[in-house]
Amino acid sequence: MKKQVTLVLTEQCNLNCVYCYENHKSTKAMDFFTVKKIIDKEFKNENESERIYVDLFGGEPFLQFDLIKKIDDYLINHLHKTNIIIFMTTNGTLIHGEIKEWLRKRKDYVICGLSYDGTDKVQDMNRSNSSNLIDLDFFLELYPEQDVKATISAESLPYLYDSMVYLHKRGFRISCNLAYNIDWSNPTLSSILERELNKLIEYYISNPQIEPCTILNQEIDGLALVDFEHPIRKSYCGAGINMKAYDLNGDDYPCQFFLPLSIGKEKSNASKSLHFYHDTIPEELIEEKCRKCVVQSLCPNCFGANYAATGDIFKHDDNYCKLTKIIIKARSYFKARQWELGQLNLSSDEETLLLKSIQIIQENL
Amino acid sequence: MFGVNNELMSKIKEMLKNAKPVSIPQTANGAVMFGCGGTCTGSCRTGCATTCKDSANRW
Repeated sequence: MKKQVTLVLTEQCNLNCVYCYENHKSTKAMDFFTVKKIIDKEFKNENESERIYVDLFGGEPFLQFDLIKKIDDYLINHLHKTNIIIFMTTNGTLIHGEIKEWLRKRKDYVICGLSYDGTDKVQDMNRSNSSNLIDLDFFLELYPEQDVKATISAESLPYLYDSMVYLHKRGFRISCNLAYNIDWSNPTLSSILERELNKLIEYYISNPQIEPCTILNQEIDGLALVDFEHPIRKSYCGAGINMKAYDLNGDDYPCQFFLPLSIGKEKSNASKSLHFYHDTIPEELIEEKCRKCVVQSLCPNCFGANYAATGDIFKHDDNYCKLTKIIIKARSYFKARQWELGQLNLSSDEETLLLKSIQIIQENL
Repeated sequence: MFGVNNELMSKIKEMLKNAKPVSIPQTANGAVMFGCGGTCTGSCRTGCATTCKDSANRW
């Protein structure tokens, strides 16, 4: 099994995004002694044939560029790791000059995932007026396979279509989702979401060469495989199993959502006693409304976001539910249209599963 | 909104009526997969990749 370790290098960020789930930021940073201890513990004796993933996180990790350089030097020149990926989630505002050159020299194993939300107006609205601080072309040039990460806030939802089209025109593949743990209760948001998704569907139908953003393109065909009478619930999230997130003190947590930085010390400490299921999840742990829900297998179930919102890794934020159903139904409608127009390249099995899934969604939502 | 029209739905049902049985991967048979649902926060693109189809093929 692949191993992935997240290190929070700093609790500081130079932006203040409207949906940020890290609610307990500070100016503190990790020191190299702590980093070294974690890396030695996690990776010193790793089998060289296994690729190792080090995820440098923040806050904004590039606020600690000197520390990043030391980590790279330690892994490559001291431990002689060759089968490694260093991944950094960044807001991109500090990627200029020396940092750009440093990244260029390491583009084969240092990958940056850029968070950028859409048009300049949307980016500025969600992400602290940062549009003019980011060199989008640099990210496209260095990481053409990496999606840009676009997060949708309640405020930016009315501009979803404009935002996705803008990012596509800039050349990005887009991974996008509704922000977690913000207030989605305003009833008008449902009709705005429908309107924007409908425009996007027409755009993708007319431009089949463009890979649709993930909100419309995630697979739905697994639904056809679900045994609704006796469903087996399995976990595919690595949190608490093959993922670990280390805070500044070197304490480890199931993923970055469970850190004191995100949910505060008290809730974070309580998470230490949580049990994560490697395989089958007992039915009684799932909420009744979810157990009965026909699209439960397609529903976002981020354990960390659930815990942050409800204190239970299996319990959803209810505000999310209605909007998620709209998204899943939109996806089924989009896939049906694509199928009708011959825009999908599917094997016979894939086609059957997709059509069965479309039928289940259309008849139940 | 997003209801498939009757004509297309009939086509889909007709296709399913004539479809051959699907060879189902054993691991997926009957399972409801719990996890991020693909709405990963960015770093999970690496973290979930052991089992997440969406991220596994990126690199």
